[in-house]
Amino acid sequence: MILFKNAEINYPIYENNLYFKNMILKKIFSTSTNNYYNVFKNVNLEIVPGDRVALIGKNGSGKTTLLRVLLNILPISNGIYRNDFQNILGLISLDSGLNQDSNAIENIQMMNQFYDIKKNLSDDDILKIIDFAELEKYQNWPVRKYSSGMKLRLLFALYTFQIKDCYIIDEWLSVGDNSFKKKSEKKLDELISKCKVLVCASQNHDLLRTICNKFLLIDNKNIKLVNSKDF
Amino acid sequence: MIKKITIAITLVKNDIKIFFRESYLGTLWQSLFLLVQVLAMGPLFASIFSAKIGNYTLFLSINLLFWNFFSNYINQSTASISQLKHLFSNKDIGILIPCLKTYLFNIFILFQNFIIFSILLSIFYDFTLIKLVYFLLLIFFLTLTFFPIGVIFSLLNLRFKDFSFLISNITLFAFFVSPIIWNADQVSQKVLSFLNYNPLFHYLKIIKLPFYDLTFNEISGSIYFLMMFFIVFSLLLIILIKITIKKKYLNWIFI
Repeated sequence: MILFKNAEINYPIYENNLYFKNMILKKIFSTSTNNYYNVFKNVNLEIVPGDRVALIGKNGSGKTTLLRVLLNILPISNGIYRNDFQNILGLISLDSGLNQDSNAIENIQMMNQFYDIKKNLSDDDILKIIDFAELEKYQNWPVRKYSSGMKLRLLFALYTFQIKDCYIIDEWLSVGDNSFKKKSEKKLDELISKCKVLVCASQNHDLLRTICNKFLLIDNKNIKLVNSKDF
Repeated sequence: MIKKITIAITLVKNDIKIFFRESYLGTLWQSLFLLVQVLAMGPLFASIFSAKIGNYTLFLSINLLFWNFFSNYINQSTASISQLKHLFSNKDIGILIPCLKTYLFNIFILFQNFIIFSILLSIFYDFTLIKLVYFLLLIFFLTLTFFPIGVIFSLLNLRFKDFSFLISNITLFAFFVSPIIWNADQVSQKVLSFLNYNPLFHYLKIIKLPFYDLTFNEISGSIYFLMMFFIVFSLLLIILIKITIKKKYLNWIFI
C-alpha cells in the first residue's frame, strides 16, 4: 500500500544560493535562509493493489514531483508517507541510465544492476531484450550512435522485460514507429494487467481513461479524486 | 553494501573498457603521462637542485605516483555524483556508488602506475619484492583516508556549482607547497615548522619509508599526527553530513 497522510511537499529553490562564493557572502552579510516552493499541501492519499492511478494536471502542476516522491527520489517535507512496495520500477526519464559510450549489451547489464530488472539476467535474456528492441544489428554500437527512437526501444524492452509489482510512469506509454508501437502497446497491456499498482501521469486523457481506474486531479497545490468524466 | 561495491566495480570496468575501446593505449595513457612527467622533470630539477639524477628521479617518481593519485582523485571526486546524476532520475542509487566508482577507478590507475614504475625502477635501483609490497600497502592504506574527503567534496560540488573550481585551485596550490619536486631538507626551519601543518608533507614522508630504509620510529610523530587528524576529521565530517543532509542531496541533483 502507498499512503500519504497530511503530507506536504516543498521544493527548495537555491537561486541566490547556488554558488559557494554567494553562500560565504550570505553567511557574512545576511541571515536569510533558502526559499522553498510549496508544490503540495496536505496530501491525503491511499493507493492499494489493483489501483491504476492516473495523474492529471497542467504542465508544472507537480505531477513529476509526486512521481519522484513515490519513487523515494524526493523526500516529503512534512506529514506521513509510506510505500510498502519493494518491487518498484520508475519510468520517469527516458534517457536515464544509458551510458552513451557503452553498447546495448553493456547498458542492459549495467541497468539491470541499478534497477533490479531481473535477478541473474542471462545472456539469453539479454538477447531477448535486444531482439524485442529490434537492435540485433546494432548491439555492439555505442549507444550515442543510436537514434532517439532506437534508445527508446532499448529502454522500453529492458524496463518491461519482467513485470514488477509497482510501476510509476511519466508521459510515456508507447514508443517507436508504427510496427514497434503495436508490439509495445501489447506489452503495456500485459504490464497493466499483471502489475499490482500503476501510477501514470500523462496529457493523453483518452488513453488514461482506458487504462486507469482511479483519477487524481492536481490543481492549485491540491490533489482531488475525480471521475473519468470530470476532466 | 556488497551490492553497491559490485555495481561500483562494474562501472569502473565499463569505464576502463571504454578507455581501451576509444584509444589504443586506453588507461595506459595515464601511466605514459606520469612517465613523461618524470623523464622531463627529473633531469631538469636534479640539475637545478644540484642533486644526483638517479636519486632525484627515484624521489620524484615516488612523489608523483602519489601526487597523481591524490590530485586526480580529489578533482574527479567533485564530479562523482553530478556525473552520474542521470542514474538518479528513476531511482535513488545513493551517494556511495558514484563515490566508490571514482575512488576505485583511481585506485586502479594507481596500481597500474605502480606496476609500470616498479618494473622500470627495478632496472636501475636495487628493490626487493618486500620493499615494493611494503610500499604498495602503505600507499593503499593512505589512499583509504582520502575516500571520506571525496564523498564530502562530491556533495559540496552537487550543492555549490563553483566548488570544483575552488578545489582545482587548492590542489594546484597544494602541489607547490608540498615537497613533491623539492625536498623538505632544502627549506629553512621556519618553513619546515609551517610544513608540519600540511598533511601531504606527512603522507609523502610515509610513502618513502620502504625506499629510504627509514624505520617507523623516525617518523612515528608524523604518523600519529596524521592518523589522529584524519580519523577525527573524517568521522566528524561524516557524522555532521549524516545529521544535516539526510536526503537533501536528491534536491541538489534536481536543481
